[in-house]
Amino acid sequence: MFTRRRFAASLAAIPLLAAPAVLRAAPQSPPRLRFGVAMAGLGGRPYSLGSVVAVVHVQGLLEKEFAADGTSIEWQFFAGAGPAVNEALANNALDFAWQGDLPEIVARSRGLGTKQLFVAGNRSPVFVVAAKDSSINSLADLKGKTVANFQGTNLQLSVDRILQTAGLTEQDLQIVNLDQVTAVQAVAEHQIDASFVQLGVPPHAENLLKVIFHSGPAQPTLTPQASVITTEAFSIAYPQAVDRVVRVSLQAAHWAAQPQNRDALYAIFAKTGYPLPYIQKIFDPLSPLVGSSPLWDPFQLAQLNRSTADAYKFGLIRTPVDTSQWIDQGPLDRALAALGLQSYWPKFAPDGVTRVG
Amino acid sequence: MSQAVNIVLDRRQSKVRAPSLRLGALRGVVAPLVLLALWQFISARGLVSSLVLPSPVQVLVALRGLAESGLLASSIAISLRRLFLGYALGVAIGLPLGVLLAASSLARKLIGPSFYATARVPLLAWVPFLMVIFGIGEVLKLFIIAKAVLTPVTMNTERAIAAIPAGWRELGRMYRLSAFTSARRILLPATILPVFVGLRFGLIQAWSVLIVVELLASTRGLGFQLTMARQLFQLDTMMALMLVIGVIGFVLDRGLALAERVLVRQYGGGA
Repeated sequence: MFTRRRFAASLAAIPLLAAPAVLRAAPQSPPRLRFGVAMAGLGGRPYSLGSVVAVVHVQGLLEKEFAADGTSIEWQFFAGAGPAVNEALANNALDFAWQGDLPEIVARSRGLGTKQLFVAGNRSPVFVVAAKDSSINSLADLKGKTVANFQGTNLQLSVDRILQTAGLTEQDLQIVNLDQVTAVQAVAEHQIDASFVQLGVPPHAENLLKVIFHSGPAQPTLTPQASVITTEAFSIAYPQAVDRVVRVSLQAAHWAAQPQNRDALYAIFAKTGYPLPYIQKIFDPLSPLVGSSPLWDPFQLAQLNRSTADAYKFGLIRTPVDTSQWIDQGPLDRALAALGLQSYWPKFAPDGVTRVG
Repeated sequence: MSQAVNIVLDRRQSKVRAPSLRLGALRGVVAPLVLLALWQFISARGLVSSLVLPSPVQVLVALRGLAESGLLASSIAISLRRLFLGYALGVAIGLPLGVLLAASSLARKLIGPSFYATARVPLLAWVPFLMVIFGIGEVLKLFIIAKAVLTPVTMNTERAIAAIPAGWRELGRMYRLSAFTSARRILLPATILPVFVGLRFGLIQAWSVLIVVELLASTRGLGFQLTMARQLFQLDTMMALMLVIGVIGFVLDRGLALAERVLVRQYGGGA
């Protein structure tokens, strides 16, 4: 029988029914979303190049996505690259970060709680340059020479791997820690003998330098990997927001993969202050489809595992890192399904060359 | 972990209470102990992430790791070599320059203003300029250290000689002392202490500058390892290195202070 008392109780229960929805809705949109980028443009310009993150940033995609939620999007660009991003992560100053494999591994080995979301940058070429009139003509000639490397950034793993191909280690060289712009300048002025360079040789020094090594497309295992990570704390508090960030990023990756958008993409990269011809020279030889792939395909998985093993082997971390619980495949899978892009990007075997899907 | 530190603390405290130590020595350890306790308290309570501020025990463990790997010894050796080369260069220029400025009024007029003007430009402001001239190699480091040593050594030497009372020189002339004897009997005792103060201050300057220079662009040494530790997010190692740098600076200064006391006994006067 529907008594008055029961009716009153039912009335009282109505807000309770709505409560879970309110509780669920509240954490879906964080008050702010802080995105750290392990790169800055020339002279510290707040822009990056080479990955989908530049597109998401310049096109204001996160700002649009979260406009209705009142979430403020805060971008930070770190000229100090990965190591500086790690310091910010440790200080709870970031929710998402784009950086290279080595700093991510270093942070994880130190116990920083992060989740790997999607790949954002792979196969970016690494060069070794020396002064044009130098007697250095091969990797083997580097022995005993003063060579620049941006220590602790994801370039360092490539450096150690490349040296290994010539039977050398960092100890066989006089490694000097310099950022890329300074390093190239120093080589051109004969202050140091050679430098490792990521992406490409800056145009202003091109005539003064010769390339003695180039990690060509045949050796993708020598190249660094970059990805977007989130903090464990943020992914637990705002799982929906993580899904939305990944989905928006994949839309941008899809856009960047299309050849007809190439000029627009370069214009975005050029906001870093690097001249357009330089950007064209770096990215024209690279496949936009492969370069924009967010997938943890067998190659990227193997590469992350190799990087963690190498980081330990080369003495860059003191505690081994386990990658098995690190990658959070969920947001990526859901975004691929939502956008119908499951089979859009090619998949590669662990060697990075053989296509498997 | 925190227990181990408490033991360390207890030991230190019991040392402090030991009656054999004088009150002066006791006062000196109060501030470090308070800081150490505060540091341990902050890390034990997790007020600051251990990634940003490692606990004292973590730092000691990192220090042991550094020592065992042999990296510590080789880095110290490289840094000390740089220090002494740069220091020797600075003293080799600074001492004669100070004597010259004190002895010759012509030199004082010709070089004095330029010397004092350049001394007023902070050392770090010289770095970009010296980089252009000397590059970023070993020569740059030696010159920057030498420059840091030069200023206090020259100034103290000049002032020490200028401050010799005129009566003392007169005395020398009255007794018709030879140049050698008057240098040995009058000039040396009158100036050795203030000159030594300059040498001591120069060494401390050289040590702090060396670390800055090694942070800038370096291949080896303590400052370089400090940068590497930061780049690889090993802040415990970084703090262990800071500790080593501090201890070496302290030992260098104490060593010269001891030598100074010996000189005071030898030549009298108080510095």
